[in-house]
Amino acid sequence: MRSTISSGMSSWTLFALAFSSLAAAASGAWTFEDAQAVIAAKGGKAEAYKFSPTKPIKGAINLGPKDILKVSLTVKEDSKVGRPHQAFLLVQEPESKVEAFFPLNVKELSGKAKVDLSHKDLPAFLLTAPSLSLSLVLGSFGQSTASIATIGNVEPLLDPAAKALLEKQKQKDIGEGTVVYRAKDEIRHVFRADPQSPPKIITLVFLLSVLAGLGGLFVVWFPILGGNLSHLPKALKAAPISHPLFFASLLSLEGIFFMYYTQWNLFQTLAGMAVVGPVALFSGSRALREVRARRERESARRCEEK
Amino acid sequence: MRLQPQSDMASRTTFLLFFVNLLFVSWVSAAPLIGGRVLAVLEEQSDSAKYSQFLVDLKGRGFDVKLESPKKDTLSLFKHGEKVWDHVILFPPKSKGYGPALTPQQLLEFTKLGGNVLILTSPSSIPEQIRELARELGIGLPPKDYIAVDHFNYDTVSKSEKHDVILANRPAVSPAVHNYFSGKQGDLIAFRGAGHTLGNGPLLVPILTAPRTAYAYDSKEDFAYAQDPWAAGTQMQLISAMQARNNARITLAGSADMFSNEFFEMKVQRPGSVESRKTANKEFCRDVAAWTFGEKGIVKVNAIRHYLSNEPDSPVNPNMYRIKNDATFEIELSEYDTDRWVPFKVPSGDSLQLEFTMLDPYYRIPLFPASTSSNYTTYATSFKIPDQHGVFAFRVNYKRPYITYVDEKYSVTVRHFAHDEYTRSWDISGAWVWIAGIAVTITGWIGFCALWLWSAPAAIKAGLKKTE
Repeated sequence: MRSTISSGMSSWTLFALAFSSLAAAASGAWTFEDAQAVIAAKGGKAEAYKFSPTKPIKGAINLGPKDILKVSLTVKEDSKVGRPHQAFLLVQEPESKVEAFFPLNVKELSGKAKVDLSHKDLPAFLLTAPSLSLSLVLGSFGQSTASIATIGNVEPLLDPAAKALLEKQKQKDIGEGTVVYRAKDEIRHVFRADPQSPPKIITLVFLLSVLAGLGGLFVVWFPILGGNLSHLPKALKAAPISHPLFFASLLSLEGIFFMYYTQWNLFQTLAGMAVVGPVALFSGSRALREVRARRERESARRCEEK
Repeated sequence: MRLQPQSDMASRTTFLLFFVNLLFVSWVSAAPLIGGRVLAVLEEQSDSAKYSQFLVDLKGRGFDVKLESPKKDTLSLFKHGEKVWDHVILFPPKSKGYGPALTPQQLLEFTKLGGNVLILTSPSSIPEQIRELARELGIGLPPKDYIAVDHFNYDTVSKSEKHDVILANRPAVSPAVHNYFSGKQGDLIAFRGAGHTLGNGPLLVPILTAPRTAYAYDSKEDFAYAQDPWAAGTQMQLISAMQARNNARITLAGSADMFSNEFFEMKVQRPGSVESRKTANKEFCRDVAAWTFGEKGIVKVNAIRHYLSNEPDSPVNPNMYRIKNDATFEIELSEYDTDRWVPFKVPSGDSLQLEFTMLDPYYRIPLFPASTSSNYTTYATSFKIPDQHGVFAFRVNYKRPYITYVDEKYSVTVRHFAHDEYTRSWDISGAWVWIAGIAVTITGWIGFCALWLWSAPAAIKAGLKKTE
């Protein structure tokens, strides 16, 4: 029944195996006993944990970088020792359910099975997990019921340098850089900050100071320097059309600028200028001629008075 | 003589009627969306009886299935550079290969032209051509005669000793993907064949995954126990598919038996359960064929609209936006379901995303269903155009497993503010000081002009000063 038989007889072997197991245990079940997990550290003393199909190891087993976890047990098909076709130690990362399997080495006659587990056996993905759960699967052809039993939890201990290396390896293993078709992270554009105005109170202080400047100008002109408008009747008498026209054209020039600022475009503004400009030019020359004449007359009179 | 034209007319009418009828008939029998010409490659015509239910079911859905032997000399996938078939089913051959008409290169060329391929294998005959094709796709096939077994989920009714009829469950319903194979969750699918492994790659999708306790071993070796199984657990796949970038699909099933009449009608029983049940193979295999041949999982964009959000009169799909405009984007999506278009629904755990990109995405935001009609769903979202001018693109890049890829891109220009679109100066409080400065200057100028024109000289004071 060993694999030394030539492969030509394989189907016969399979049949015999199936038949024998069928005959041996019509409705048996695969189970195990005398099970223990030993952490064999180099030089250190070995720590043994006993477990059975119904009683997993309590607490976590720490597996250091140089430790070897030796799991040994006796496989039984009901009460007889036996060798199942499938005897795997499953190592699972509980969160992602990613699992690796390690076939047990089973002796046919004694049913003694063992498997060693160390850091170098485990892929990087599992090794970097905080905790791994171990289970044992026993199953074979025939009618004996297959069984799966939880053994316990293993916590791999890693030094930081090795951990960093393994993390890199893990990223490589799970396909770093390969595209995964799924929703990507959301992106929202961050706008540049809007331009800020200074606090209104400061603006108002400066606004008032500017207006106060205008007030100051008028105060200097009128009460202090003695500015007045007393020649207005004289001027209107001397040039009744050009004076009002000149002043009005000055005001309308400012008005045109104001319209340009609020709603007109450049062409409307130029048209307005074209109308008002000549008026200002002609009426201005008349009005200013009158002003000069008046001033000359005034200074002549003053000279006479002296 | 006078009757002649009449009878001529009559015959013409009959002919027209016949033609219209023909059109009508061909429309009613509803040729499948992506063509209905199916080539079934089967070595022995007599074997077709084994798969008759599967093939008849295909014919019933409008597929024109032609059985051909791979040995036939005239067999070809192409004629004048065009494909002659829309879909190909490859049944496992008895001889070593499929012959010169079905080399991996030709099968890939066939998929490049949009053809779909369904490959059924059996552990004892995986021709080298299929291995080569699978290698190219990133599927790892086991060596010859490796079969998948599971001592926990096998059928006890059929050969109970070999445990090679695996009873698999349909894939679990996932909130994030449209899995067209999930179906009724309690279904049992009988599988007898080989498993395979999948490489990393977005184009490969698993369809049926092996149970946790399954493993593959060499059935021809006489190991009394599996010392070195080829693959095991959920990392092993029973059926997988690749959807190419042009949406052509290649599905590889590790078992041809599961498509057979025998498995369609089989009653199965799990170890430990009390009653036997009929397999769901018929439904499941129909799902596999329907998906592979483009009856399911075809998503289409009906229309795309983008416009300014707050202006009802704004034009649809303008070429230009201004920075900081509020824009709305809409996309209408339909999904093909066997014989008609139905509204496409994004799974709850997934997100249909709109990107607004210039080299890099400035926005990647979810689109939400805004309205649904009888055959499409409108997804919409609104956002503020970023404060960066240039040529941007609205892009919907929705690539997900099991459905055809949606990748739509529409360019628009984003311009800066025009000179008259900025905030007016009087609305900026910081500008008030400067505006007041201008007002003060103007007032002062007008006042100065008035003084220059009409002020009488301050003679008295000056005179007094001089006399003193």
